[in-house]
Amino acid sequence: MNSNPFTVSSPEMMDAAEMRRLFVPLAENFEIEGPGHVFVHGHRGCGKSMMLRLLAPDCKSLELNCRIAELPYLGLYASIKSTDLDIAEFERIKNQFAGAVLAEHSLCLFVASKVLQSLDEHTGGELKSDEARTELSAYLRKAVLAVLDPTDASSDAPAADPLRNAIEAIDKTYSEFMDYMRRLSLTEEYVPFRGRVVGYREFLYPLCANLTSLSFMPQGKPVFVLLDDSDNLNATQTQVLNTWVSYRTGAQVSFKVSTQLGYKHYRTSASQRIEAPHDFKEVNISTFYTGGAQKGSYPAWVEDIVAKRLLENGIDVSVKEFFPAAKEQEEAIEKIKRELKAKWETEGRGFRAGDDATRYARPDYIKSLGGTSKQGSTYLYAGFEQLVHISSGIIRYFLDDAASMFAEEAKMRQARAGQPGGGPVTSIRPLIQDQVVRDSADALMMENLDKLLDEAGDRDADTAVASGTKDDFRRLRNLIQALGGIFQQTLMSDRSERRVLSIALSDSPPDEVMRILKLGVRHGFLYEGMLGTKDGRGRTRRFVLTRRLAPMFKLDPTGFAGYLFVTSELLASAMVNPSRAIREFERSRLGNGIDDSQASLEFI
Amino acid sequence: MKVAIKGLQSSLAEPIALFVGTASFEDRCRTIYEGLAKRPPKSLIFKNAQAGPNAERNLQLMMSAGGESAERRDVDLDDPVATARSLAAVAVSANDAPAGCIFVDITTFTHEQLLILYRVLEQARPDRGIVFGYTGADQYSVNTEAAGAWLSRGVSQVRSVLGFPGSLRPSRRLHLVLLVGFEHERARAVIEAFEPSVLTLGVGMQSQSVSERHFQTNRRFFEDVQKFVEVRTTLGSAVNTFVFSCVDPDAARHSILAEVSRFRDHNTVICPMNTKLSTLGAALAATTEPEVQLCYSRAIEYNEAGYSTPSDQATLFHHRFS
Repeated sequence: MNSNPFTVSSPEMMDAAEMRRLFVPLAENFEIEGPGHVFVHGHRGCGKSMMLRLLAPDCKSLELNCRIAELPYLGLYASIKSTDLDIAEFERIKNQFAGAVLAEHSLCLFVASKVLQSLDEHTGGELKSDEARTELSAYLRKAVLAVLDPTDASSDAPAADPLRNAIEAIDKTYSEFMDYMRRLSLTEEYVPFRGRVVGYREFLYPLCANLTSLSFMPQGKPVFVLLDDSDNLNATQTQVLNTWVSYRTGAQVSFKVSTQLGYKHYRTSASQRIEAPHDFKEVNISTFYTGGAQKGSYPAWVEDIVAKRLLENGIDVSVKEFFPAAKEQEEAIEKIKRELKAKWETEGRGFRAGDDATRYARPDYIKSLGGTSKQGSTYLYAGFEQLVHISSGIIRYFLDDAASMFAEEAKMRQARAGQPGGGPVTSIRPLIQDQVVRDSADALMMENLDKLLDEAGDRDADTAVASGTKDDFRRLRNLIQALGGIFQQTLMSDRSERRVLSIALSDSPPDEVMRILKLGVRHGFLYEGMLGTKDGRGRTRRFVLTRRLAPMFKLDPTGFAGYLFVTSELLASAMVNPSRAIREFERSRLGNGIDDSQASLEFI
Repeated sequence: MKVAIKGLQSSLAEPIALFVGTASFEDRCRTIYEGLAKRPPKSLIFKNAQAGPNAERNLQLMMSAGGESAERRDVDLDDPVATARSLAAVAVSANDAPAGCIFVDITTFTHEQLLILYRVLEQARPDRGIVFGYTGADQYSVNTEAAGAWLSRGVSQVRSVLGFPGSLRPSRRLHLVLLVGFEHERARAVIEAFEPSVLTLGVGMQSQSVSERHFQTNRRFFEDVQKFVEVRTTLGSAVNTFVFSCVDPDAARHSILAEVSRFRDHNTVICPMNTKLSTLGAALAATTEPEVQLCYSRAIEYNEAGYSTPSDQATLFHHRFS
């Protein structure tokens, strides 16, 4: 049996050669390679970490085929894990002045250690020469050792491994801080911190900024600190990072900050807000591929990634052969298309015969399987194209499902062959593809959304805004159920556009409704975009249901879907009683008098 | 040491001076307390602020059984600092109690609360013996078929345990040690939250499990987690596995420390998700190696209607901090 080509590695564990072999650049680099602070937002698995990791010196010099000294910038990667910095003990000091000072101290040390580690790991052998070692040794003695311990009287002779020395000194100071935090764990008394405290301006900034003064570094070029998964900072640490962003140091040291849409807030230590584009540039990768001009590039990007992974694992078939569509189903849909084209001259609704075929063939096929009855589930969500659509612009969703499909296919082949191995996997049968995406949809709706329901609690105001209350999640679940139901009814209707997966707001919704919609966006159930209003006088918000739920609601995930203009009243009703909202929608919108203008197509 | 609950009190070398327990939605929370032949002079009964009517009913029953000597205390699933403040009452009461041991019924404390309580006692170092008692479940997920068994659903947060922050070195890679229990989804959430470089999965030892049936269930969940890891992720190295005792904290500590020592150049985070006795083993291990962090995954929903049925036996672990 060949190894699973779709398993996902953390970018920090991959070397430059592996990155280059497996990674396909995004169609757009969002100008993050320019000086200045950037926040890159995106759902888990959309490619943010890869994007940052590729800016590290080893990947960049491989890409540009140049030495590190010739790079256009020095990118230093630092990922933040779940409880690296946000330890429970911080609750003890979060409202104290000392809390802010120690949050800065610990974040400085953490980032300093990480960037030097990145320098060590991501520069190949270029820092190992005697000349580089001598220069680096003197630099780190001054920038790190002397700052952390002014009494340091270590020899001026170059250290055997100056980077390791400096990292260990930082880690040791960090450990002293952790020892202090441990002492705070259970005490209600004031415990003074007696260690030396470092800050951004006198420690981290000069340490990073002056690295590019060294002869073997890209001299005079900017330094990028690539902070991955910054949602894992607590509210006080977030405040510290925002303060650093507020300093106008972007020309020398800029932060490229990735978040999973859960960044706590944008306030600085002085309670000022940092704002885009004034203080930083902001990019949302999740919405990039689900709306706008780059829509068509996502399937091509996924195809390139999958093709590379198949090749890497010795599977010499095309992507579409590997994920075949259900043959009989596609033939039946093709037949309906031919019939629609033939009828277009007399009964057609679209501008061209092909429009009707594209719009109605698949919905008509799904409808022919038995409406909303259980038979509807015999529609097979299979074939590379459908799988790409279902992944909703997030590559991890595609790869996770593909990994499960591969494992299932391998197991089945092994069982049939009656021996270990069972022959190489060269394609995934449609039934397995279908089952896996259905299971994922069920899990998304039943597990993920249900679990979020209980995220209420005694959160501070900062996190409550970002995370939502229990009641918010209840409303979101109702809204998703209502939208899924409405879209299903639409698909089964006779209206001119049936492949509807999005809504546009026909009025300005109250804050309450907007908060729930935003919560849906944050947790990946909805994607947000803009489009023109019905009267053509302005722009309004559009929210797209994740196509990952298409199997759950028996929807057509493919192609260009229409949108429905809905009122805030309907949304508010949906958030309370989804069944009633579906009935109300059906009564007023899906009777005999369908207003086609309410659901125009998006031909992007 | 395993004893019949009805003879538990007589098996102790000294009388119970202070009883500490928790009222949860599981009837198991009452088994030891109601089985005590002689009412302890003082009892502290904790209850989660978020717990539902079953826990309230059990609390009332325990308060009735304890009479005037029983005091109710609240703990909070979402606020470890408030929980620690509340649990500190155990240390205070331990100082004031008459001669005898402190008996802690650990059966239905959450893993996190048990760990915080352990740390409270460890810091207070009461000059008396402590007996940790655990009532195993006769059966779990009694309202479902075996294939659909569940104990909890969803994970709202993965967090470090107050009192066990560890001392993670920023430059080091992460070694996650997971003591797999009966909750596959919680285990997955922890792995996804940490994305460790090295993953070690522990499963209960067959001869050191609460029962053969529990061992088989634990084995099945363990294999589910292992399969998830193998299918979905590529770690820096292969998944390590080990076995540990579900009934003997000292033995569990020993097994955990052996795994920790295999990756000295890594930061280690331990997530105990099996029996409360093995969670005590994790606390012992993290006390021996303070650099190790303990973490907890906060479940969203418990199978309150059919979580477990109590067995009629308890396992006791005798400990002294002073």
